[in-house]
Amino acid sequence: MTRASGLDLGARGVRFVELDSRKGNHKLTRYLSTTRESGESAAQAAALLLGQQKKKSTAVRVGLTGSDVMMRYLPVPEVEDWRLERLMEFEIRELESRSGGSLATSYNLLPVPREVDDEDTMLLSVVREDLLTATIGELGGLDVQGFSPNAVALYNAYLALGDHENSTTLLANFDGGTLDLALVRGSALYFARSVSTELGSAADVLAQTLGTDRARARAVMRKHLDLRLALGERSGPDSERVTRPILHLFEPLPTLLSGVVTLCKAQARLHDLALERVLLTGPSAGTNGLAEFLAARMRVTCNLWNPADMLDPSGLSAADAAELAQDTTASAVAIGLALSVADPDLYALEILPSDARKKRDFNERGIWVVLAGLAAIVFIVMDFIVTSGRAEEAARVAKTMQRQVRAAESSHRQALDLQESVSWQQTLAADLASRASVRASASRMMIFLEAELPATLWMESCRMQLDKGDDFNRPGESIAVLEMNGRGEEGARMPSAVFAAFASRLQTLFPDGEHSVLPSSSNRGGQFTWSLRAVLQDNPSSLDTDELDDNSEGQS
Amino acid sequence: MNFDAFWQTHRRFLTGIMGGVVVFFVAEMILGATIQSEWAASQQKIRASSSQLAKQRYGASQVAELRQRSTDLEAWSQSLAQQALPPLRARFAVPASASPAQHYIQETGRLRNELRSWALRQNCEVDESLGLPNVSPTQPAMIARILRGLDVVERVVQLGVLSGAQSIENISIGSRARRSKSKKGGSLLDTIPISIEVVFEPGLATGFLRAILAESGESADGPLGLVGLEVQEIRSKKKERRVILSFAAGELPLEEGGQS
Repeated sequence: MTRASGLDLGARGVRFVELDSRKGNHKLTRYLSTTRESGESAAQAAALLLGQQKKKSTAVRVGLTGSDVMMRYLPVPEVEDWRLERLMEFEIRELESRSGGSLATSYNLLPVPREVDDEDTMLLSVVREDLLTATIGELGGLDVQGFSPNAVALYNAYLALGDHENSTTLLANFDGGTLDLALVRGSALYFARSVSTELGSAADVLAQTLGTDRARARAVMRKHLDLRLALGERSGPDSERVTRPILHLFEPLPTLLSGVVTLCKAQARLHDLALERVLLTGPSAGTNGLAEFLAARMRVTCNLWNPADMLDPSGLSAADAAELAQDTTASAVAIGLALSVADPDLYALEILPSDARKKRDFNERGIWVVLAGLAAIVFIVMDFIVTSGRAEEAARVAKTMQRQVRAAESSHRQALDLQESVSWQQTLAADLASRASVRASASRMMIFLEAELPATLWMESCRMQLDKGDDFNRPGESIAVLEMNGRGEEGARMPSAVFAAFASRLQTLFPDGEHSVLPSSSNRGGQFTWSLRAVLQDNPSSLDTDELDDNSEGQS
Repeated sequence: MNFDAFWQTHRRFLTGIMGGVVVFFVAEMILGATIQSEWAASQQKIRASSSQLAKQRYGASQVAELRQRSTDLEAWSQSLAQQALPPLRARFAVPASASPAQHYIQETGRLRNELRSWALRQNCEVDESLGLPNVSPTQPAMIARILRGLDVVERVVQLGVLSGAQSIENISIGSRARRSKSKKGGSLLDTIPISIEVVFEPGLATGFLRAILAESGESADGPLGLVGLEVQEIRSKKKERRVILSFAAGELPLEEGGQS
């Protein structure tokens, strides 16, 4: 459901319409109207009228009429839309350069059937931007959705609510000194225009003639004006007194209305047009005898047309409904303006000041660009934060691991240093043990010799010293080695057996006796000699680092 | 709508979008470049550290174990040193207040006089040099080494004389000993080699040997640092038996790195 509002800033009063639109069904929800006070502009009157309402209105489409809006018809080639846009931009720049001021414009192709016109015609609507800005300013805080020419609003009202009769129909909205015209056939718009007429001064002329003020003259006009007098019909004396002084102001109307067709032929290049009927609407459409007067003079059917009759008034309050009933055809333009907003399928000709257009462009498209930009910035920032977090986490882990590596390397270096120290200590201890073992071994050997050396074996010399342990299966070690040389007693029995027994006993003193004690003997020429080489020292390397070397495997 | 019409219609919008996209990617690249490079560097460090940590290394427990082993070995070395290395008696140590050279001259002079005189009175002739170098050393370290050797010489001479030696000859106090840092062969100890030749009548050497061995082991003066012993055959003509003794005097060295 779409809710839309239209505001008709009329010559003598303003009218506000709000309606709900759903699937082509339009329901009036609010109707307000007021007359303008003396010296008060229509926009000010509207601001006052709507300002008094408790219920705020939706954004309103405001009507433009009279000399405020210029409507031009430009023949354009049949080209792509973007070329057409460039063309119109060029045209508008041309207009602006000639007018010397900023112009608010809107354009749309005239919806003329191809069989009627084989060329495209662009309807360009031009308004001075300062006029729109001033109007918006006078409307106060009212949310202006845009401006549209009343003539186009009239056409849209006819499109939505008219009979679409297949005859060339002139829609004429009479509002004091302005006349909004739309030449239609079926649903096609041939021509639209707003013009100013002399009718706006009718009250002043009558007031001057009758010697009264404008308000009273207007009241008298409403009551006694009857244009049938121009057709020769007799009416009362009051009617004649009121009608005759201002009749000359109505006389150009038939020509003016007929001229629309002529203008349409010229500007919109529709040559085979013949006006078939006129639908009168607007605040002044109900003037007595106006329809007959125009029908007689123009020789076409003239009828009053009130689009409000086609709308569902169930949404109106009683007061609004009464006001709408009283205003009758006056609400046509306001209804057309509201329908222009409510129904996107209707003819679009929306004028906005550049600031408002920029604001709308921003709201409709720019905001998405800004949001996309913001999203991109948020993404970049989030990505930066996340990536920074990952980088910081990685840096923290790297630092921790580097600390672990340093600690491990430090431990490893310490272990290697200690291993070297242990090795050094082992070598030193082995050296010291070897040295200590010399005395211990010598003592043991001396005790052993004194106790065990057979009396038939004589020791001639001995030597004990630190020697290399290669001969005793202890390579690389410095060990205490004892060498003894001796001989057997001359004439002794079986000296070799005695020596063997002695050597065997000596071997039993040591854990690895066979390797530790190496005896040898010879018996040459009856002389028995013996020698004995022994290592008399246990392996001092009881502490070593082999175990540690094994343990280091698998450690990290 | 062909592409040209689409482009022409939405040119401004598309240009804006493309510009925005370019700005987006440029901003993303600029902001990401530094962070990404930091992240990549950290990842590289993590990989390198992981690789380092994956290597087999000694851990803290091994360090503690090795430290304990080192301490044990040090204690053991100290214990062995008390059995193998002769301690330096006080009078052979250079007092801190005295000049090393003067102390050397005084001590060697006194020893020459007293020890040789005492030996002669016991019918034992002692090598006049007592193993001292011909030229008195001047360097404090060398003086200390010689005095340490002289300490051992005096003790051995006294034992020899008391054991009935005929003479004590060829006393030598080596001024230098090779010290090897290598585990294979050589010694880590900076020792002073001392050799003494003691001459006995046949049959008397045994008592000397017993005394030497006892002195080296259980004497209150500590070990003599015996590292070699040779009892030669009896020389029939001279009716003598020579006992050649080798000693090594010294102290525990300082380990490289300051650990003793």
